[in-house]
Amino acid sequence: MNEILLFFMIISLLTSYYIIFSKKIIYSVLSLFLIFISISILYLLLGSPFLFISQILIYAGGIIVLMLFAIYTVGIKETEGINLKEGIVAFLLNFLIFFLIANILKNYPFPKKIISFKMDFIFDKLLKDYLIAFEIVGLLIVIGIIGTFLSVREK
Amino acid sequence: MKIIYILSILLFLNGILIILLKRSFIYILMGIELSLSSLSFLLFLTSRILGNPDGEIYAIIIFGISAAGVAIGLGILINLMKKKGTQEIEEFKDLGK
Repeated sequence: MNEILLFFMIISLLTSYYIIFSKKIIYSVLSLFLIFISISILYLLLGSPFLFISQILIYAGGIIVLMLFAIYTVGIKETEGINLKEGIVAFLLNFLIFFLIANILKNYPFPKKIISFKMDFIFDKLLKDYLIAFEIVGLLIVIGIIGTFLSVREK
Repeated sequence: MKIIYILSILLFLNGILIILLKRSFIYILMGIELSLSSLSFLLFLTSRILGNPDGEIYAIIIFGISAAGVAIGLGILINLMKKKGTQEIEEFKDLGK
């Protein structure tokens, strides 16, 4: 179980490094698709089928398709590579921050077995305690889509 | 379980790295999406470790926010391509004039 989780996590990490070094935009977007699918499989293995489905629907089905649509509409293919000097400094800082956080978490007691919740318990909480936040997020998506439409259309 | 938690922090930092290193607009959007996705995975994992369902609900809410964000970002991208004909962010320094 733990090995499968580690396998998908390492796939998503290696793919994120590929995005940094790649120059072709379409390949990068398809790599992002692979990362989202790996994270959704992690959700499924950790016992949350709802987040698995919503990750695939929203990220892989919505965001990636929208990005591919925009890229093909405006017709961009390649971009510049990264600056070497900036890259070395940024990677060093990245690993420094990562090792600091890992050092803090080293002594934290993690449980051997994780706690799973039933789906109806989650939805009960979502539609009772968090009802206003949930509705406001729906409103936010509608306002975002209307605003995008108004800003893009021809006058 | 601890190694998954720590590696998802590295995934978040890689999203920040994409935002910092890449010079093009669409890569910055991709970095934001990667960071938000790994952040919601971290919230979910924390809620499973602590036994509190609030983190999972925050993850659902972050999904909606990132979907709205990418819609607005791609609208900005199409407008910038209409105006300038490029998407490299070095060209947008005189946008405020």
